[in-house]
Amino acid sequence: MNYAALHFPDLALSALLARDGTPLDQPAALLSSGEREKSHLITVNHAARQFGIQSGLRTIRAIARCPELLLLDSDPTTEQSAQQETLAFVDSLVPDFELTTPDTYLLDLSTLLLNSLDDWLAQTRESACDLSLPLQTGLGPTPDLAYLASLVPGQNDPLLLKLSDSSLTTSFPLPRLKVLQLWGLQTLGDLAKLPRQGLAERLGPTLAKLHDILHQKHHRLLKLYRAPDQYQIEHHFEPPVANHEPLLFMAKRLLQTLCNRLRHHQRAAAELRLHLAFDNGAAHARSLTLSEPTLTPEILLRSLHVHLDTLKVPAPISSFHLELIATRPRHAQHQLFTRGLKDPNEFANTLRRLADIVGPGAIGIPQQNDTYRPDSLILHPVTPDFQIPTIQNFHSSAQLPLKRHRPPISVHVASEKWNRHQRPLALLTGPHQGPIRKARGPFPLSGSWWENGWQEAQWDVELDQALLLQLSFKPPETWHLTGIYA
Amino acid sequence: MELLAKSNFSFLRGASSPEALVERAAQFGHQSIALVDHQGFYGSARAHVEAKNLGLKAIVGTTIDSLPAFAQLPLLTKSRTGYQNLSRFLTRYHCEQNVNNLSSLDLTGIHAVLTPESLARPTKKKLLAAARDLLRHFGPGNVSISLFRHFRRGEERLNLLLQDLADFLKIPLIVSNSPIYSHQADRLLADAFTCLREHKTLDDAGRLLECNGERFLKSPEEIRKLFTNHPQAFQNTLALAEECSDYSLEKLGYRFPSYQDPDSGKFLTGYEQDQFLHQIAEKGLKSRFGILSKKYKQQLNQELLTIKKLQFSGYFLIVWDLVRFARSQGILCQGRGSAANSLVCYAIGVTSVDPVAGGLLFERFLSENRQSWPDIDIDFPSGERREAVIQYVYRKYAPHGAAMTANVITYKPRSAFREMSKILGFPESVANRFADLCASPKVHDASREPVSDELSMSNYYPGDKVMELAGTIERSGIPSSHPRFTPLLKLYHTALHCPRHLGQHSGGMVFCDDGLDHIVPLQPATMENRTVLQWDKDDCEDLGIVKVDLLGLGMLAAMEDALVICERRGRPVHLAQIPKDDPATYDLLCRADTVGTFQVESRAQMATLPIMQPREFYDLAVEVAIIRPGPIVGDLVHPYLNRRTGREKVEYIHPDFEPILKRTLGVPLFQEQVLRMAMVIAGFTGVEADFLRKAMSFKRSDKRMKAIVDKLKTRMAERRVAPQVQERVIESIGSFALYGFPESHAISFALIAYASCWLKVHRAAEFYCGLINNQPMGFYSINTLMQDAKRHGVRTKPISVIHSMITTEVIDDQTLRLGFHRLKGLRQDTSERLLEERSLSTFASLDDFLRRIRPNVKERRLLAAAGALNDLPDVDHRRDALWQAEQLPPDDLFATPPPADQVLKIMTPSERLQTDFSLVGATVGPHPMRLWRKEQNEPLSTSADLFQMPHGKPLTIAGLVICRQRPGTAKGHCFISMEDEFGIANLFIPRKTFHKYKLIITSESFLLVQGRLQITEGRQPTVYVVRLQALGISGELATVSHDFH
Repeated sequence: MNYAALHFPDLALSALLARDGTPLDQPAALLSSGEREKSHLITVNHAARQFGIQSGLRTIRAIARCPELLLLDSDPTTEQSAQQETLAFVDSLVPDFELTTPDTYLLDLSTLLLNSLDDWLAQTRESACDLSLPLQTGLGPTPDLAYLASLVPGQNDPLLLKLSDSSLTTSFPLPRLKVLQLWGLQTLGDLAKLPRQGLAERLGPTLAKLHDILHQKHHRLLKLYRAPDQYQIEHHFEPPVANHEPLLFMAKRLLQTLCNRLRHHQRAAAELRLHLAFDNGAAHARSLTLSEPTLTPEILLRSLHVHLDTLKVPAPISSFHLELIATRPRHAQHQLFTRGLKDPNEFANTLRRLADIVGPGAIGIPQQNDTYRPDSLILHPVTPDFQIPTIQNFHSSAQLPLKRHRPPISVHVASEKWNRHQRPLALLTGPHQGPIRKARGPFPLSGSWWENGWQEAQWDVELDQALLLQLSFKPPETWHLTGIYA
Repeated sequence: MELLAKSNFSFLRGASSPEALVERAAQFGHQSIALVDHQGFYGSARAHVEAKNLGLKAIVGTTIDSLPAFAQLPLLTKSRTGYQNLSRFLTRYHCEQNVNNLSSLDLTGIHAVLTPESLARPTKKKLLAAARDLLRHFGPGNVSISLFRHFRRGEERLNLLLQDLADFLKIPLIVSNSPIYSHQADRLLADAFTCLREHKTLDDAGRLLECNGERFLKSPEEIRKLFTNHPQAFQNTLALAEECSDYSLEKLGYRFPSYQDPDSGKFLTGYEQDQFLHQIAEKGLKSRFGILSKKYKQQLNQELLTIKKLQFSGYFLIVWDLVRFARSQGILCQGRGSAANSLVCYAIGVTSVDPVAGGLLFERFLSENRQSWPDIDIDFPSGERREAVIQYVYRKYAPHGAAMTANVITYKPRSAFREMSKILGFPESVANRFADLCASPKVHDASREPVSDELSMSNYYPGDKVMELAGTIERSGIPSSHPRFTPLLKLYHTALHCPRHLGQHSGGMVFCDDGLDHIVPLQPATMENRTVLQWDKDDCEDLGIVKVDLLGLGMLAAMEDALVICERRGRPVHLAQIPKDDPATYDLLCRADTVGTFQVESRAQMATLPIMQPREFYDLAVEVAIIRPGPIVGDLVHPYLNRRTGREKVEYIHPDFEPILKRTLGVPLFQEQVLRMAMVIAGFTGVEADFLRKAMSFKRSDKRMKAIVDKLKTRMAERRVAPQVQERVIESIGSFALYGFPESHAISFALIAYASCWLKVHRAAEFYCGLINNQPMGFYSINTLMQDAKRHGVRTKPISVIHSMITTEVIDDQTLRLGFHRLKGLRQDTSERLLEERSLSTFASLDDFLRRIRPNVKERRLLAAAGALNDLPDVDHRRDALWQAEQLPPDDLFATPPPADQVLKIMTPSERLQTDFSLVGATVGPHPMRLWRKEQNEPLSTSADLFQMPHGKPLTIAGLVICRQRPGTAKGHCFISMEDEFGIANLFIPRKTFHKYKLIITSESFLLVQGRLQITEGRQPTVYVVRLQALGISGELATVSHDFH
């Protein structure tokens, strides 16, 4: 038995249950999220299977069978973090292993000096308890047999594995599964009993290969897992430093190292992540997105410098951690595409400085919302490539430019009822007062009635001295001076 | 006057019904209102009827958006010619491609209105060109320019441009608010419809929505005030409205076609038609009776005289022509409805009911007092045979002389929720869950008034049809605290019953000899070679357009097949000659052994048959009519049955009603009786009674019913009828409003029902064969029918490539052989090739079969798995066939076949069952319950045991669910029919139990039920369910049940 397989069944679901601390005997299932389809279950756990619930079953039917069934929506983040945990776990067991499927690992035991395989397996299972995830193990003379054995709960016999088992069909595509079922085959053992030639003639080489695997006539090499390269570095100050000068000095050298590493892998930095730890236990983290991918340590250092200039440190800095997020470097022929900005990095630094002063949410390109609501704007963030968002064509129908009061000035207005509206007669308070010579309107506007509805009626009014104003009336009796026509 | 209103018949462009707009217009004191619905006259008929009732003029118009230079162009009709031209234009637009050139059209009598919305981006230059274009095509007096004031910024600038244009070209200026809803509150729905039209959510729609809620119908005074600076435009609007009001749909000018002599091709004159009808009616009666008695002669002459006076001879001849065509093609057909009251219809072969013998009233069908056309519905076998008749009509009146009536598809709870939740941005999974939760469409509010859980006939009576909507929405995943919960509820309620799109009526056809397209716009139906008109059947009836219903009946198709087989097997049956007093047939009815028969096979019918104990044909007609919403709502079933069984004294609501109600033991069951009651007690004239009939059958609105009931009350009060009698008369009439069932109709249906029962008794093999060949139809699945056949001594043999034909065949009186048609996935040409090859020589082996037929791999598996290859010499069992047939034999004829080794195991009975259900939809082997029972230690009760048990005995029973019903009239209780190997057990699930086990009941195919036996009236055993659970039957059987219909 040279190979072991660790299979974490229903990982997507188990990860969610482990996250919430749900006991393993709680029947649970993951719901489908597809459009236009009747909702059904995509994964069910062992406890749910005891109620006759299978993946693919309609939700309503599943609830009918087990009213206590816990229905969950899949959460890719939790699943990913569970995968990371299982990966770290397996990495701690053996040097050489294969990530066969997201929930199954094949381990090469030949490099380990084991006294007893059973002891090792028992120990592995025990240490896996910390993961709070169910685990199935399998041992086999070939990788595939070990893998198949791990899919059978509680038994180390791949021949007992059911053909309809979803774990099998995801890793070994069985294009003729329905035919096999029509033939009355239930398990891999049934398949193994068929004559190889007859099987190959009828259903082709895929099943013949599976037949060979089951009879140990097929052996393959593991595709060994290697962790992706990381571009991060950490430095501890002894003693802690009171200002950022020493930090910048060290960062210059470290950034050079990271950039060399990136260059070696034909990558460039798209983002610089900084983490500072202070002597008093506090911490500061910031991600500095670069305007364009770079391999120049000076540009990175400059960005860091700009940020640190505005940062008030609460205590001496005890350590810092730098990480570069890699991307593909940008290639362009020299001056083929002339940039609008001479130095986009410098511009990004300027924006960064501004953001540090006014706050990160208060800087961007204003964009008019697609609504009739007056003066409704959003700030579109400045993207690293400085693309200006497409602003929809919406121009006010007013002919004259309006100098808008932001916020509008609350005023008292003498008014009279006119049809279903209030017509203004005179402005009683505010910067411009007096009788209204002429009024045009109303221009009633309303919207978002389905959530936080709003409504108002605008009036264009003329006071003495040909002063043209825009008033807005909000029921029941609020008047605002919204602007002056130039 | 409002000349540019759009209703919700503009489909997603308007939010109020035509009736609501007209009603609002009347409230405001408008003299007229023009409906300019999008690309059609869809809502004009309804607007016309409502306007007529309220004393307004409804002007007909439309808005076209397909012309190259115009985004929208409202067109109004000024005269009948204008109406006809516009109708033809719309027909051409819908039926032909690229009709956008105005010069090719006759636009006489049509008035065009240039509006601020006519051009997508109006400029002075474009507006001038557009106006000149309109003047050139429509003529100077037929173009107006309209101003709108919706209080939008910038609209005044456009109004000024239009005003200048009008001055410059001397075109009259008019004013309008161009409403798309009647009340301001309807703006919500208008916005929702905009989102649906533009495929956006409300959050994304932005400025596609209206900027305010000003596009509602305004009063003349408000319009005048809005346009005080355009007094002339206001006057012009009044003048144009006056001009357009000259024409209304009253002057539609519809004329039913004259009969065309097929030999000479000549259209007969009125006199010739009268003569010809007389001739064929007399001939027909003589062929039925030989010598005519005086009574028949008198009746015939009287009817012919009335028909002649009303000039309806052509109508009868045309229907006769249709029936004649059908019979010439060997297509079974039978008239139903009030036509069965007519001896002429009976004589010319349109109906099969002898009205004289049945004492039916001709006046119910046709009278001189009646203004509307008589109603003749004809049933044909459904499917291709009915389509042949429909295509005959299309051919005969081509190109635009015939069309199907429309069927307005409205928002139902699920569609309303799906679409409204979508535009509010809720995920589709919420709507899916809502749809799942509404599996039983009428979800009752459990918190309502307590309802007796006792099982009795009263459980068939109504409760309030309350949908526990808020709770259902919450269970669908939207908490009531959600900010959009209330908007969703509001939108749901306003959208419910609004028109969604136009479909076609199941069989209503309208025809006209000089072109139907000038009467109403036609458009192509989704089905090939069919056109549909823009009005539904009620609209047609309102406007005096004759509709002939060519309906498809699955049972007729099944019976026709059965008769053909009988004929082929040398024991022919002629429906007309079936004895109407066959005791065996009535015995079958009395014991409710009616699975597979027509009309009397439903659970409710089967429950009443043993109480009813029908012993003569009229009993069957009553039985057909009795389980209907009408009688049920009216609380009338019970008294009738009580009186019939002698438990209740026969009494009449009023002594004058005795002659009318004597046949139904004093209980008004038929529409005719209600009409005659109104005539006797309230002195209604024939016309008034006819109006009452229309109101009762008019399902669209309660308004008409209310009006006529008020009149009835007043008349009865005038005649000093006792208040309690008045009340009971009103009650009787009200109960018919949902579904009035005419006596003649009941008799026509009873004829088919009786014939189907007779066939089941005397030609069982042929009867079941006909049913199997015409699935899907009726109440029960093919498996239930085959199980029922088995219980009646008719066994079904499986599909076999050696013995089967394409359809299911009768082998002998006790045996059927399933045909290849039951194999889903077997191509027609494969089965045809199989029959052809087999006729040349039998298949010597599986290889021989595969070589000669060359089925593809899917078909090979299908045939093998279904056991169709089992009869071949070298095939031992299904799995053996599957193994062998997976590979095609080598082409080398001299190659020695490899030794046949048994590689695969034989299928277990349970596996065979599963395969049969998934491939054929039924099994010829043992019932699933028999297999299940074998594995059980504890004996359970069976459906057969129920007949031996005493009332109240606790029991446990299991079976396959074949029918679930929870009618709106059942106060939330549920009825299930559960089948086992011995028969069918009826379950009654009280409302509370239903709520507790709802998901199991609606989703599981096999149930294990605990309860107690209740012997109801008629000695019918029913299980009163206390608790239930899913039966642990391994594997998923692809069973079919008839649910919540």
